[in-house]
Amino acid sequence: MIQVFFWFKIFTLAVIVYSTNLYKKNEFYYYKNLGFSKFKLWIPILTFDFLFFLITIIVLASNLHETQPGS
Amino acid sequence: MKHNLEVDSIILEFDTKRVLQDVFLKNETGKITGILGRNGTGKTCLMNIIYGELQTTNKSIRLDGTVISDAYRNPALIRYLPQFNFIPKNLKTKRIFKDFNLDFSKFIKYFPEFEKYHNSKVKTLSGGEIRILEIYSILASTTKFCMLDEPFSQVMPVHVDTIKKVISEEKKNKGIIITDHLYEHIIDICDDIYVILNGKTYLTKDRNDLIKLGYINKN
Repeated sequence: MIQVFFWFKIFTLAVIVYSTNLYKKNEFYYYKNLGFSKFKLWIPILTFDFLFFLITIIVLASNLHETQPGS
Repeated sequence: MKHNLEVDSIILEFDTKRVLQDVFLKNETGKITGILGRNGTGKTCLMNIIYGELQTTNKSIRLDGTVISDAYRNPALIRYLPQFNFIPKNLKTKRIFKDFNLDFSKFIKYFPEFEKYHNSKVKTLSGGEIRILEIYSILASTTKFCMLDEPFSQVMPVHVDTIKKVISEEKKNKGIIITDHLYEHIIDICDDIYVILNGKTYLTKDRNDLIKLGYINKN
């Protein structure tokens, strides 16, 4: 089950990055003019988002394990 | 302090079509360099190459003799005004001035009608007003060089004159590269004008050169 969640998260992140890069491409010039490349913008966002997901899923999994041992 | 920006040896190809092949362009602090050319000759591409946004098979961009590749990584070196609106619409005007480290009161001296917009979101401004905000943020912020792609389009004539004043004021501190099809304004403010034709740049001396190069008609 966790594996499904993991790959679904990877998929949604990829969709978000692709669609934002496509539909907000003009706005990236604002941040480039301030010295932030696409890479510099995406790395902290994706890191925070993925870590938040990871911590949540670990907490949920351990709770599930406590309430339903062997699951 | 004076800075020099030199661009040459650029080759840009799309599939089999060679867009730029023999480009030379020079700009320095205190000078405005204009780029003219028919639609599709590669003016915007050239700016994107200088900015590091468009990769090419061959290029040489030197700032004070030092080769630079991804200029957009360092706004202290160069800033770029693209020809489309680029400021996120949900930002407030005061946030833009803070981000670019600009003085709003100085801006108001040039454009008094913007005083009421200090706390407004960009999306509440008209297309022309957004363009003025964009031009000013790029032009007046601290940098060695700035490139303006079609700054006069979308802007009403009275504001075009004010923008020209800002450009003339700002050139004291930086080098400015500008392109626009409103060539009369370009001729008016530029120290050097290059025309791109068949992928090559030609440094022009006067209006007659623009006629010879087929950019404008005789009459």
